[in-house]
Amino acid sequence: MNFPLKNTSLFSGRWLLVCLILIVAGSLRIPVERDMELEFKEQGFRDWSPGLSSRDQLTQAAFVGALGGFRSLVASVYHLKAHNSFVKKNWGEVERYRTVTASLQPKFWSYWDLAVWDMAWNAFGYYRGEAEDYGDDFKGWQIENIVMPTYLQKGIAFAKRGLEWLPDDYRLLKVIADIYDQKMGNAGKAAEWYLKASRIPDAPSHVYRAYAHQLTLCEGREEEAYRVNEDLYRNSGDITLTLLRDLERLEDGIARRAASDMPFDRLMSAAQAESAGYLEMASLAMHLLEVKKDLPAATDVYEKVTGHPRAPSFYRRKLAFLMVEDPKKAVRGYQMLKELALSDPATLRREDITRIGQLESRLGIPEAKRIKP
Amino acid sequence: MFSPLRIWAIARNTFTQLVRMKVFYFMLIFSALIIGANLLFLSFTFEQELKILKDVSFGAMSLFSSIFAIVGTALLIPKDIEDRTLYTILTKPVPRIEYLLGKLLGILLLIAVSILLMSLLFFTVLYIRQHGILAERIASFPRQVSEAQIESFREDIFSRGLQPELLLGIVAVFLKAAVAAAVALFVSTFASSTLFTIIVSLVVYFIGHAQSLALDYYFSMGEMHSAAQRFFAGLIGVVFPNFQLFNVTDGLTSGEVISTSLMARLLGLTAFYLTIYSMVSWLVFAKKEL
Repeated sequence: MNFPLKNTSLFSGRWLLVCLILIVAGSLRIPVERDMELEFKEQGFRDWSPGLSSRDQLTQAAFVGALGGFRSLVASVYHLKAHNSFVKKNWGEVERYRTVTASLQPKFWSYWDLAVWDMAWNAFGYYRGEAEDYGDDFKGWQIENIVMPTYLQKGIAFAKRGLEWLPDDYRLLKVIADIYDQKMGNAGKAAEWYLKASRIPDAPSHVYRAYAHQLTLCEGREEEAYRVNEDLYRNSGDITLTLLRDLERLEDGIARRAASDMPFDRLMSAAQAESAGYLEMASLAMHLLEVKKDLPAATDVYEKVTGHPRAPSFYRRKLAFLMVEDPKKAVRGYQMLKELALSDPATLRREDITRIGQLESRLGIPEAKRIKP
Repeated sequence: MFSPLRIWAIARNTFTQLVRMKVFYFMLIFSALIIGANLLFLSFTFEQELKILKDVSFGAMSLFSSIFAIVGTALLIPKDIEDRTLYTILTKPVPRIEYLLGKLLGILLLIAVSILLMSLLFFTVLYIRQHGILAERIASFPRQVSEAQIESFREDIFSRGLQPELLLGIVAVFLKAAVAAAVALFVSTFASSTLFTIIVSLVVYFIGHAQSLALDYYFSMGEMHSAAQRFFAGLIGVVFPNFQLFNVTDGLTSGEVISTSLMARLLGLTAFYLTIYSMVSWLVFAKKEL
């Protein structure tokens, strides 16, 4: 299929004209292409630029592929390689491949999320198993105190690098909060990151609720936690079990502190004031119960608390269990528990089932009429 | 007299000529790739699974269309010389520019049909898979799924599946292949062999992808580069087409959206490239001794 060409000297006038056209056309299009490149960059299409570091990370073929317009495909291939390394529990390789994958397509949040997951959950979990196998050995201590925290930090570092590309992605902010919450037990930091995540417009409501929950675990921030949780309880329209439990714990704490710190007279006058809220009454009841050890009087005050329109349902549970302690009011207390089990079962706790069972036996409630858990 | 009808006749013949070379067998490989990508990666999350499917499909489309563009164009003129068809055509009152434009249009037609077939298969598999994922998600849900939840699942899954933006990616793949074909046509007008055309066009194709790097180098005024280095970088930028500009599928698969104005300018730029390369091809081919 050869077709030799004659008279095509590079120095002929025709060839000079060809060169001239190519150069002029090139000079004309370069500013246009430059503008387009910048616009592509602004629209998030140019989030990878080949450099020496990427050449080090990629194989030659992958580098050429990424350069030749197959960057997304190369990223997918490295994602599969990372998955294979994960199966083999080769965490060093997993980290390297995840770095490559995420840097090839840094705007694809899932790559960052996977990297975080592999480091802070999978590798961390794997080494926890290793540490348990070593038991009290120095090696076990070393894994638990050096290796495992390192993987958590690596996970956080991945998420933070992802946030440089996707600052408005609540999922990456949330995953950092998850690490602080589930892996490090650092409620303060977890609350901070959940709050950041919840401020992103498309963050679902559970992220803010997670922030509220973490606040309740922060020592010394009870007032702030109460403010946030009460606001959620009153205004969110979505009262979850966690929210209910947290609010109960916080209100119990407030009442207990008031009950121990304030004299009875002041508690009494606060509870009897025109503008008294149910919390003032609950504080008085707590004082009667825990300081004065006066169960009937405390029960009477708690009855008033449950009659308050703003009092949450958990006060009815509390009242019911106090009433069953008093032989005269035990049957009424049991009736109240039965009503709660039917109308608002979420108010009751798992351990309540055993207590109710014992109460039913004590009161001689026939099997057919007992509360079904 | 310039005749679009004559160009169309040559284009149709070129298309038929290429189809007779049984090029559409590539569809078997493409189908295997797509179906394989669909079946092999079911253990991943739906987002990753759909992304892999899109990556493999776009990658294969880009690869096949560029190969068609370069190899198909490289074969055209030598094949016509070998079959003596070229002499039959040129002895008639057919200007050489019409012959070249007809050939280019023919190969573009072939690329368009190939991309259309690949897209149909790609979209069908993607459509089936996203519905499959939705069904799996509903079935695996521990509680009774409400209509609102199904709608939320659908929105979540489908937003990462078959989206109209993918069409723009396919158009960009076609435009890149069209420019590659125009480059190959130009090279084939002065090439000494088919192999030479293929190799030179491939080199231009790869340099064209790195061309933006040369431009970055050329335009980085703040950095210290020697005059010779900057001249060389500038020369690469001026002479070689910027193929990197057509790479929009990478962004599309990670969820970016390309503006219509940018897409329109990409179309305009392709038309510019095709005009320039057709013009220089004609300049070389016009006085070529056959």
